[in-house]
Amino acid sequence: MIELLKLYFVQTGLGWIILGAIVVVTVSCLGSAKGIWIASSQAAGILSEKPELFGKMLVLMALPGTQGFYGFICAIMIALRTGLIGGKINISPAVGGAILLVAICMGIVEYITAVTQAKAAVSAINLTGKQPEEGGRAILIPALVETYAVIALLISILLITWLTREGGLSYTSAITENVNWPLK
Amino acid sequence: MDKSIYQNNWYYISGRVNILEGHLLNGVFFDKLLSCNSLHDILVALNTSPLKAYFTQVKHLYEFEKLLNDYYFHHIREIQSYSPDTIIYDFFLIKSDICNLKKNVKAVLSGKGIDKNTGRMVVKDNGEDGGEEQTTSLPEIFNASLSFIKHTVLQLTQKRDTSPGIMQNEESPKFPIENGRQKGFNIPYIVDLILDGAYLRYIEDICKKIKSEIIRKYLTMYYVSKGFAIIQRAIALKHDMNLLQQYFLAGFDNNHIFRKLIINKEGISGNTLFAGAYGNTTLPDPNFIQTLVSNVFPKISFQYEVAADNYLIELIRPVKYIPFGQERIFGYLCGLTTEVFNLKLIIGGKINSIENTFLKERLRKTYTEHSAA
Repeated sequence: MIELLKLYFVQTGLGWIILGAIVVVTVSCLGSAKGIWIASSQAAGILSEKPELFGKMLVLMALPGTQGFYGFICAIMIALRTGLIGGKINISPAVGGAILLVAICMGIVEYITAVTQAKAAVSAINLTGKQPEEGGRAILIPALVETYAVIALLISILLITWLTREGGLSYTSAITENVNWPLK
Repeated sequence: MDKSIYQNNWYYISGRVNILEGHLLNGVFFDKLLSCNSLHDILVALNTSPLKAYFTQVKHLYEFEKLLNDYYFHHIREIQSYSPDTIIYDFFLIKSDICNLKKNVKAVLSGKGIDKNTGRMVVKDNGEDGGEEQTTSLPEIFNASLSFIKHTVLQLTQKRDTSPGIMQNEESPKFPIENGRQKGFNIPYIVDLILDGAYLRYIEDICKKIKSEIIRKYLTMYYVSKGFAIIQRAIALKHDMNLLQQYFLAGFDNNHIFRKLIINKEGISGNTLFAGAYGNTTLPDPNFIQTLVSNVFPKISFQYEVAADNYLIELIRPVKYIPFGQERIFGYLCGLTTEVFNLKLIIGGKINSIENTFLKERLRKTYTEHSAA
């Protein structure tokens, strides 16, 4: 067991990246599930009185679900870029740790945005319930929160790409060209 | 629908209340009701409102109170059944329980039987209760008051049985005369004092349990205004202040604002009363005090109650903009209570041929400015 742990977490970064992929997808999906629960509970209350609004409510209920997909994309990115899926795994423990950190941060952002987006969706659901003709504009309210979930996804993809690029993590400039990077 | 799915959060019921709020009647509708010339016109107006379901089969309006009680309690019970916490509902339900209890105790004291058609005991639940009558019990805080009343009622009923001339009816109680005053004349008043005191202490108690700042503020303002009304009435009607001390204030702390109000009764003609009464305690909203002062003096007036109720509804109105939570539900229930009050006022007034101006000045502000009605 100790040998296996050494192999996964000390000799290579394989354990860290697997952990990272698990964390990002789990936390994001939990956030989405909670977000959908919040929005759909509120929408169900509205629909119990106005069932004809189901079509408009569906979009608002589904919006917090996107964060789960972003987590899934991030996990796939980690798996693809590190060679976990169909490739040669050549990740140092330090790079694995860095990827895990990116995954944790990404997971937290996705979780929080999913829940806050659900709360924004609740306001939009209330607005649509009272004024169905404003349903189109109401979608914009939770959509604004989505921006930050997308930013988190983009920056995670960039960081994962940067961390796993060919030749390992390195940076060369006039000042640092002679620095012997420990992650190299 | 499985209620337990929704009983863990406020979201479902907040969504439902969001729509129900739109069904609350607004000031325009009440003006329309006031302008009705006949009871038939009122019935027609009610049949075009969200209350239609309760008035469709009704031929005349003489049972309006029961119908409106059904409407009110049905809504409260339904919303309560989907809520994770029932404390806010108790405030509304116990208020009516206390009114019914007072009515029934006085009925027993005057030799009448208990009216079983009052209160929420007759509210039918269409859910799993299968339409059976529901009985309720009051919270523990009422125990001491209730046992005291039970003891008093028992004593008086025994006395009545042995002396048949005593308390034959509520309108003209025949109490024995002692030292030029009617002995036992104060009993109904004492019942009021005991139960009102217990009810206000109960509100104080739930204030401590409720986490929401705005609901707490509402409840504080509510019991201050109601307590003040009781004290003011006792002073204006020259009731025995010892009775007030003994039966109303018994359960309140020595530093309680109500005790200070009684001590300062000499200065009960202006702002000084409030300054004296509140002393070092936390002063309520200055606007609230101003509203009370400008409406209650120099004599007891319905304007005080109207001003206090209007102030309270204004206080709670901002919760309409809270998307979910117990504040939203509480605000709606306050709106529903005001709506039912206004309806009872107008319909009762019309049945008894009261002038519109009298009714209009007693109408309370509504919770919603715009509604479907």
